[in-house]
This record gives sequence, C-alpha cells and structure tokens, in this order.
Amino acid sequence: MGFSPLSLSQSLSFFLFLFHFHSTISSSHFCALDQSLSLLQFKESFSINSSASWNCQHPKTESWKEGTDCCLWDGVSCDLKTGHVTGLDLACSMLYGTLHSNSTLFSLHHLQKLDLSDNDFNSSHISSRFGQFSNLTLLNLNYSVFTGQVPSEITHLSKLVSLDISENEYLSLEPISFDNLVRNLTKLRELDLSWVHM
Amino acid sequence: MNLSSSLSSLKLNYCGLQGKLPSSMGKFKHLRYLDLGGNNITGSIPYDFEQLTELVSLGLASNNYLSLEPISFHKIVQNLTKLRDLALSSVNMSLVSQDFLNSLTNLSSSLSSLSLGGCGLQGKFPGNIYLLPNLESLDLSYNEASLALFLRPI
Repeated sequence: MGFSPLSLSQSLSFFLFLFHFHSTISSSHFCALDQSLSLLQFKESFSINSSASWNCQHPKTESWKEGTDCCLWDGVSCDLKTGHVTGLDLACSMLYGTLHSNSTLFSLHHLQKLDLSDNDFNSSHISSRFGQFSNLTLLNLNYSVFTGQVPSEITHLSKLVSLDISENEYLSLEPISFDNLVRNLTKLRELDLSWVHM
Repeated sequence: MNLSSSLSSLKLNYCGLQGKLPSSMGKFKHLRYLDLGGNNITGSIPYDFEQLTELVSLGLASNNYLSLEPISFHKIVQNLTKLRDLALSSVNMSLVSQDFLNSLTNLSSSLSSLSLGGCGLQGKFPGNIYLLPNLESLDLSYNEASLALFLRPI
C-alpha cells in the first residue's frame, strides 16, 4: 500500500510547515537589540579576574556572544513579550574594574532584580544612577568592593523587597539616615547593611 | 522603627549603631534573622524579644555595653523555639543566676550554634547542655561559671 497523492502532499506541507516553524523559532531573538548591546558593552568594561570573586566563581559573561539571543545568556533573564532584560544575576562572576556612572548597565531600565555580589569593582562609588532602576525589587551589592557614600537616590527604589549592600570596602550611609531609608523603602523584607557606617 | 512588620531579615552588623534597642521590636513577628552584632548598642535587651518567635538567628554579640536581664534571658530561652544560631558573646549577663542558667537546657532543640563568651556568667553551666541534639558549635569562654567536662558515650 502506497500513499495516495493527496496524503503525500498533505504530509509534505505539514513537514514544510514544521520546518518553517522551526527556522522561525531559531532565528528569532527575544532580546531587544539595544539591551543586547548594553550588556555587551557592560561586559567589555570589565576584565575577568580569578581573585575578584571569593565565595564562588562563575564567569557568566563569558557566555555572552554577539549575534546570539541575550535572553539565553548566563545570568540574564528577560520579559519574553517585550524582550526587555528584567533580571541580571552576576554574583561571583569574577568581574574586575570600575563601575562608572556612564556604564551601559544603567540603560537597562526594566531591571527588576540586580545581583552584582562578590565581584571586585575596584573601589567604585555606588552611582546615583542606581536610583533610576525604578522597578527594582532586589538589589544585591554585597562584598563587591564599593566605597564612599551610598547615594540618596537609593531611597527612590520604593519597590525594593530585598536590599543588601553589606561587606563592602568602606561605605557610609550618611547623609541619608537609616530612618529616611526605611521610611521610603516600605516593601523591604530583607535588609542587610552590615559594615555600612551610619 | 519605620520598617515594615513583614520584615523577615535585618542585618546591621558593625554599622556603628548607638543607643538602645527600641522596645517595639516585638512587632516584627515574621523576623527570621536579626543580626546587630559589633555595634555600640547600650541598655538592656527588651522583654518583647520573646515575641520574635520565628527567629532562626539572633546575633547581638560584641555590643560591650548591652546587658541581658535574667527575665529576658529566661523568656528568650523559653519562647524562641526555632533558634538555630544564638550569638550573645560579650553581652553582660552577670545578673543571670544559677536558676536561670539552668534554663539553658530549655533552648531550642534545633540550636546548632551557641556563643555566650565573655558574658560574665557565674555559677555552673548545666551539664546537659551537651544534650542539645543539633549543637555543632559552643562557645562559653571567658566566663566565671564552671562547666563539668564529660564525654557522653556515643
């Protein structure tokens, strides 16, 4: 028993449909192009240094390659409908270098979770631009060699549920008072300011 | 304290905090981690710490002018039944008498780390403190209280 011409053509068109569907998926990028470029420029502004992370070591940015979907990169999560980067988990990523105020990190306006803990930002100041991440629910800058004053703009992050800026080189909360901080961050459930002078 | 009562973790170790602990700490009913070690907190630990019944970790060590009164000591030992880590080294407990010291035996059976070094404790530590089933770390150094050393058959 052979296939009738009709069923053969049906099978063929179904196969072509599958093929088309598959190629559409693999060539489409969820990641918005501007987000991808911002991440790549962020990556390029640091070196990977084995002494930059102490508690664990996962050089996540090494998987970040131009021309691939940034939503699939290590440590990156996205809103798959919009292609916006909503989460960046670079804990223990062995990043070494200064995090400047003009870093393309601050172009990722849709971030909800940002974890840069256990890297070496080489005595960077915490930029006031962190205050622009108005959707942040989690910010973790633990043990990452930040120094100086915590910018008052941090109090703009009114959606924060978890804030950890502990164990840095020398951070001072002044001139924000602790009361002022917690009055603005009303959703906090986890707060770690250990070793931050206040 | 303006912090939300839904707070589950507050860690302010070595922040240069001064002054007394607020007496309203008891409102943080969901608090699981409270670490305020290495500051200059003065006065005594308020009674209402007994209401922090969800606490898994309580760290108030290295506040050299902080004290723990016998009744608060008793209530903490009695009511914080989920504690795994209790660090009170250098908190002044010199008023804690033998009766209260005996209540250490009532500490949470989930306790894995207990540090009471340099607390000015006097008398005798209850020998059955060794019987806490999950205890991994015990620091009772620099006290005047004595401790009968014995090895429990395994």
